[in-house]
Amino acid sequence: MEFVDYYKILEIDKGASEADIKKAYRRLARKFHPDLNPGNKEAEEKFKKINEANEVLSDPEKRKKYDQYGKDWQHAEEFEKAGRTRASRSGQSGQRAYSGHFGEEDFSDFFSSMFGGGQRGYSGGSSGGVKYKGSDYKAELHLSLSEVYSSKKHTLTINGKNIRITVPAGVEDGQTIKIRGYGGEGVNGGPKGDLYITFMVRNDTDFMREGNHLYSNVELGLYTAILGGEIVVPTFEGKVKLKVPPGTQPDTKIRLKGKGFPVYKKEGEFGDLIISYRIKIPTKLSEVEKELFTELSKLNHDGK
Amino acid sequence: MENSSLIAIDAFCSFHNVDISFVSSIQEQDLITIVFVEETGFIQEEKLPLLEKIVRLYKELEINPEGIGVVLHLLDRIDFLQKENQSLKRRLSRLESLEGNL
Repeated sequence: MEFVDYYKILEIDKGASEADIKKAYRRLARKFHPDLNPGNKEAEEKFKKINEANEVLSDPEKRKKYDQYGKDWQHAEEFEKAGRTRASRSGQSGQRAYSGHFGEEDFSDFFSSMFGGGQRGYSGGSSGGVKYKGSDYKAELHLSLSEVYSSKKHTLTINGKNIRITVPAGVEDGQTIKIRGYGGEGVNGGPKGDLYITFMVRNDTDFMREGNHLYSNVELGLYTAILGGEIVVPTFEGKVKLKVPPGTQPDTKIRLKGKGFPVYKKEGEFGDLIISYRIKIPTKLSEVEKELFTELSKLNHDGK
Repeated sequence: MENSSLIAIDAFCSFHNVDISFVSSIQEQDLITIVFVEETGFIQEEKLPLLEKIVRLYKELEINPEGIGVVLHLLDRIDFLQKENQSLKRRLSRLESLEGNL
């Protein structure tokens, strides 16, 4: 277990006064508070450390023990035994008062070895039998674009518990859904928190997705573009035959209605597939081809 | 509205050790709505996480109700901009991919 330098965490000297500690804590807490840095795990970790450092250094008794035994914290156990009788003067319940951030599991092992189970530094928190909702959990589910083309069941493991959910077809990358009652346990028998699942959708296809529409590029031979013809193009659900009119220009866009991505929670509704034609100009011409193209260019009045 | 989805402000304040006047000042900032049933103030259960977040900002960071209003507004802006940024990044990556196929 590593020694934790609480003074370093709060960026203060060992001789810092109570006011200095409070000031340093406020300054760093404002910078790294999870409510001000949503989704930033680094800030959350930093805030936990700042909180722990403040928990120890702002309490004269704990600070004294830390200063005395800090580096040899293994011996603190003996100190603990001797001083057990004067413990728990503060009478803080250590119980979570809200569905927000930290419980005692958020304190470092170092803290637990020195001071026992974690206690929150808040003066409030008398439980009084009031029921409160448990904390909300957040999870990410990584899926491929092919997987979200149709509704599928997935099993997630959240805090050691298996949860089977049906992911509706058409979920977006970054979309979050809420599952009621799958969060942390409530306080005093209050309702459980909720589970928020964010879907991270990776594109494993050649199609580009934007909302419910799909985009793809289709290569068109020079002669088909000029003379017209029939081509077969891939869609998400198989191939379709398309008629290409003579004189098709590069970058022409064709919209295939209903061949795009399923619309979220609207069964049977699909977006469109938009195809862009890329015309392939031959790079290596045979002598005969060169002659024929030269002939053709001569037929053209401006020679272009 | 069913009473079961309401939380008494008295109980909330006593649990979080905040004065009822604090909740009133939060309401004055239009950050929450207090529902009155027979002269007792309640908040809706789904607004509890927001009110608890407000209490954390107030108690842990000593931000006053006016400041909390500004913080929440800016957090909403950040959330909007982050989502817009993500969507633009996806769009850019799509365009780059289209360009790569040229």
